[in-house]
Amino acid sequence: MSGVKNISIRNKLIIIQSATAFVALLIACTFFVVNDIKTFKATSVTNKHSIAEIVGENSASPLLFQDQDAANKILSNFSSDGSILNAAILDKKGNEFARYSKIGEEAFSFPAPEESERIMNTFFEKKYFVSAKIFQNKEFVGTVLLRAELTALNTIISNHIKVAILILIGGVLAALVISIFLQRVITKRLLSLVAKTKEVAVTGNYAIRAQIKGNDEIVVLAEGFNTMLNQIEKTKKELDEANTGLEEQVQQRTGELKEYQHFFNNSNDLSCIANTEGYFEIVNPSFEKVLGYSGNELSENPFLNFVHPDDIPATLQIYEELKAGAPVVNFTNRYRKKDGSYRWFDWNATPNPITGKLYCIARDITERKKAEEQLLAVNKELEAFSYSVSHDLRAPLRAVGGYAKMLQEDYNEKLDADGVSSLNAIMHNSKKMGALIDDLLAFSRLGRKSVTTSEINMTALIKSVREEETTGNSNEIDFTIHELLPAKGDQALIKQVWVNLISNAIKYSKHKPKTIIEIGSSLKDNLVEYYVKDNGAGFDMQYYDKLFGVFQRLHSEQEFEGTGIGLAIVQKIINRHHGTVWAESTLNEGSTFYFTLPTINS
Amino acid sequence: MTMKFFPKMLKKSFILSFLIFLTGFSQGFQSTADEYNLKAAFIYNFTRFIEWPVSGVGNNFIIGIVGDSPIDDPLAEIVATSTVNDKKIIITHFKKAEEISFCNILFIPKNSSIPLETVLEKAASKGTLIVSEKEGCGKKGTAINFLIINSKLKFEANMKALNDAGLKVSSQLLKLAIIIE
Repeated sequence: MSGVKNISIRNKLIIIQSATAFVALLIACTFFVVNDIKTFKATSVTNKHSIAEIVGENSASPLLFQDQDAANKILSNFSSDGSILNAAILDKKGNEFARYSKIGEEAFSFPAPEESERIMNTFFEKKYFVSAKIFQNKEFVGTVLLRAELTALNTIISNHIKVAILILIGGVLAALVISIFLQRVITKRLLSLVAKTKEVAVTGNYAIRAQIKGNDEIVVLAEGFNTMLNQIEKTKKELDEANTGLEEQVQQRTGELKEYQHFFNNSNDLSCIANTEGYFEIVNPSFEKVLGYSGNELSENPFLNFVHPDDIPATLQIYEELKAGAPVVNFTNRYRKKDGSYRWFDWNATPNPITGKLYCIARDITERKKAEEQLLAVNKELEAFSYSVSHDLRAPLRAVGGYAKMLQEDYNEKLDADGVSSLNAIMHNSKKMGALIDDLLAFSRLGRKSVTTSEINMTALIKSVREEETTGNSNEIDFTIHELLPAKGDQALIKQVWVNLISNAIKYSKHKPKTIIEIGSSLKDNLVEYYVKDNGAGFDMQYYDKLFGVFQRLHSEQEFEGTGIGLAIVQKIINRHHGTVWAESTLNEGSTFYFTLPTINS
Repeated sequence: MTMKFFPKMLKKSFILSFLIFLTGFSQGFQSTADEYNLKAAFIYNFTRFIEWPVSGVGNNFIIGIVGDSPIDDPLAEIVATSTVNDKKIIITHFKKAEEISFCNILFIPKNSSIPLETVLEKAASKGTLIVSEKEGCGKKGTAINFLIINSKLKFEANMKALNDAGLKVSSQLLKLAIIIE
């Protein structure tokens, strides 16, 4: 089949036309030859029948008058017809009356009429048998039998076939010649179209157009070809333009990507992309630098395998939150290094709902953690030390105070005015030192005391604090207390905060003709912010750093009494509630103290 | 030869008829009866090849016989079962010359007592086929005259007599006859 496909259209057309002519001629010749042979056969047979009938008619009288000589004479006339081999006349009883055989032909005995009926009018052993019944005045008188051969038939068949072959050869040759000339009408233009197509394919020049005249399918093909080239040319132009733009974009994007990669690869922080199956997909070189594992080692194992066993529950919880779509800020946990030691990581992570991946950045805070721990230990040591110091100081101080009091009671008359004054100074200072030590103890006790949080009704709490602080105070106080939001905290400690802040406000307003105190609250970033505002002495913001320091005072003892530990206690309590405390002030115009506490919902 | 084509039942009858055939024709006449059987058949067969100007008397085709002849019985036998142009065949005997009336065929036996000339006078040229069986009769004016040649029955045909009688004779018959002009 591929052989047929490879033949050019030009040759195909020639072959098709010649083949068509051949088949048509073959059919026609076959029909005519077969028909001629049939006609010849039929004519021959009819001819033999006629002969038999004529002989029959002539044989009636010899039969009736028993004249065998006459009958034989009639049959002898067959010698002029070479095709009749044998003949016989039978009388009405079926007995042979006369017979004939062609010269050189053996005598043939015809079967009896009943039997010969079967082979009559048919070819039997290649010979044709004919019988004719003889009637005289409608009375059956006998039968004529002929045995003939159709010798001429074979000659005629071979002659016919010869003629048919000649006609076939001549016809096919004529068709070949005609088709060779006629195919040019189609193929010449088709081949020119093919040449154009090849030219386009080889040169890639889409500006080429086929120009074929006429109004048939080839012209339609050529027009289609031209239209296609138009479109290709147009599309190619657009494509080239788009490609140029695309290349620029790709270069730009590649540059951007390289920049981001630079950040990713050179950041000291540990950056990674994790999937929701619990594996790292990409880690930056800092991971290897910090943990000692290769990128492959890290991404082939679930990242939980590297997390400190104690941190796994918290990490899992954070991981679930991330998967649920919540970003994570400042989550810390520990990762195991290849040498078995652990590093503290501070994580910031955001999930991407589109990619379904987690984008995480961790900072190695091991050193900071160590410093914090050291600081904590030092602080604890310091607290223990200050507690024991202040505790141990109380006994000798009490002794000093006790003995001074004994001196005053028993030896007051014996002492002169200077002595009494000195004694009073001793007593005053030892009392003051006792107060200092008490405050110090209270402060250091705060560090050890555990915080038990519950919901606090601030309005009710303020009410009791206000009553306690205003009793026995001569100065007129104008309190403005707004509706206060509730918060979560340790009731006793928070009460201490309010006591310290309100007593400060009253204390530092005592030189003012009228004391004005405003207390209020507001909700800010999941925290409740409280403030206490007064119109008192205020302070210079220049010294703000010292405001919350232990024993740090911005005013003299003579102006406003106090140990300088109240605000330190406030700060410590608020810090222990994970809140913050700060202040704003203008000297001689008043101060506002703020602090925040967690809401009741957190 | 042909035996193989025949069922055995038919074999006997075939041989029998073949023997009859041989005795009848090839070996000559065994008896007077055979001769007249054949002559009777010939007379009937003549009717097939001859057209009469007058086809008969009424619905009858008449065959006359002058005197007595051994042909009587075989002819009567054929006539009983045959017709000529759908006419019944009647046989009439003429004892005397005066009795002779119109008939389609008139047979004159060889031992006839009535002279031939008398009979011819009575019947010639009147549409009657006169058949005789004596040598020389043909020349004398009978239309057909039987002869035995080589033990075979043959006949002469007198063309003049046939024409005078107004009879039309088929060439098929004439080609078998010995023609007398």
